[in-house]
Amino acid sequence: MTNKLFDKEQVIEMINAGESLILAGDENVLKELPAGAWIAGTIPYFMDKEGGVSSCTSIFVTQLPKCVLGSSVKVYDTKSVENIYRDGPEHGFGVVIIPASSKTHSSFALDSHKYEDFASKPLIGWISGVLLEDLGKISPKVFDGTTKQIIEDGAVVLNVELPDNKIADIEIVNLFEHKDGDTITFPKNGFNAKEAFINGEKMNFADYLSENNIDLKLPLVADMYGAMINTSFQSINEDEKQVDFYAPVFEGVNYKIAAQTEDYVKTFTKNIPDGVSENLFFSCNCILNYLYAELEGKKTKDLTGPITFGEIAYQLLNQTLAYVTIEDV
Amino acid sequence: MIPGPSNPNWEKVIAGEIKPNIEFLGTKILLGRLILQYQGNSSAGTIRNCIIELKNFLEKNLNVPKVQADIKSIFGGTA
Repeated sequence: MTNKLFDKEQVIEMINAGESLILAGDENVLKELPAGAWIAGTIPYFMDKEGGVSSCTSIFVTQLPKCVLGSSVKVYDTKSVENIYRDGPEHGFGVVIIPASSKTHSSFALDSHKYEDFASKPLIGWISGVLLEDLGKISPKVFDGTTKQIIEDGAVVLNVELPDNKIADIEIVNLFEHKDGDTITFPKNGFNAKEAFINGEKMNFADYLSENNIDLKLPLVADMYGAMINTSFQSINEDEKQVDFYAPVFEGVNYKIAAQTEDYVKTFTKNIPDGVSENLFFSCNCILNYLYAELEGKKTKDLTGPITFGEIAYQLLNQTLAYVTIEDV
Repeated sequence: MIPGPSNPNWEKVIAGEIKPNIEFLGTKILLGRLILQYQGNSSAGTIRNCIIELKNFLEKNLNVPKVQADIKSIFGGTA
């Protein structure tokens, strides 16, 4: 299974040969591709064979393996995205890309667990982004290559059908743990919070973070039955006394501030199971891991893929490496 | 292979009374959500809906070895 960077001409050849592809690249280079059986999201950061790299001219390509029975592209808007799990193939999996900061991103982040058939079929994917210098100037996008439609608010999905003797197994690698420290809960769901309960005591959350010198590079971690789910800090708005997040916090969930990780690359290497790359179909890692762990030029074992503004493994994640392998059964 | 909805372990796992070891990421995420739902409202209707959702999920993923292990872990010798 191919997961690596190619130049535009090579990708055009693959598309014209009729291959089904999942692509990641800068908006301008993706716009130059011909119509074909592909989906894409904008991002100029990648984990390639030689390590983390930024490029506005190369395109990261994931080719479907030979065992795949068929694939089809589906596009959703803010409303219809609620059908994303229901519409997945009976035997297979879906790969979804959603533009960062779009209404669909917000809707999926807040409500996916209420969608029909939530998590009943494997869904992996990512949130598209832009060059960090272009934040706020250029909007992240996704592409439906079958029509060359460019989407600023919506979701594009490649549904992949597998034969009966294969399954898709989605896993995550999270450097952070839900262990010691204060238990934090929030009174309502949202991408920001003014108030929180710290060990049951109501406080302004911005004040709590400041008074306790919390390093905002460390996410909030929730333990969802053994799956460690991060919510990353975006910023503290001191004027509003409000904390902004890259994913929503949820009422009723117990969060803890993650413990400091001594060496990101070593911890990644330790937590990625041996032999994963043999059956790896796709992986993606978070832009915050790329930045905070200074992954440019460094490798995370053999896992390659786009560096993203959010990861999807059944639901939205932050600061996490998500991957899917195709296994024999 | 999957016990019917009257098996008491369905309710026990959703109510957090038993904590079987779960391997499959999809099961962990769904179960985490169902437990939260139960904690917010532990009515008979909520329990019934949570059991149906978990049972449907396990049935749809029955060919996945990790899900088979999850079922054994939840129901022990009764599965």
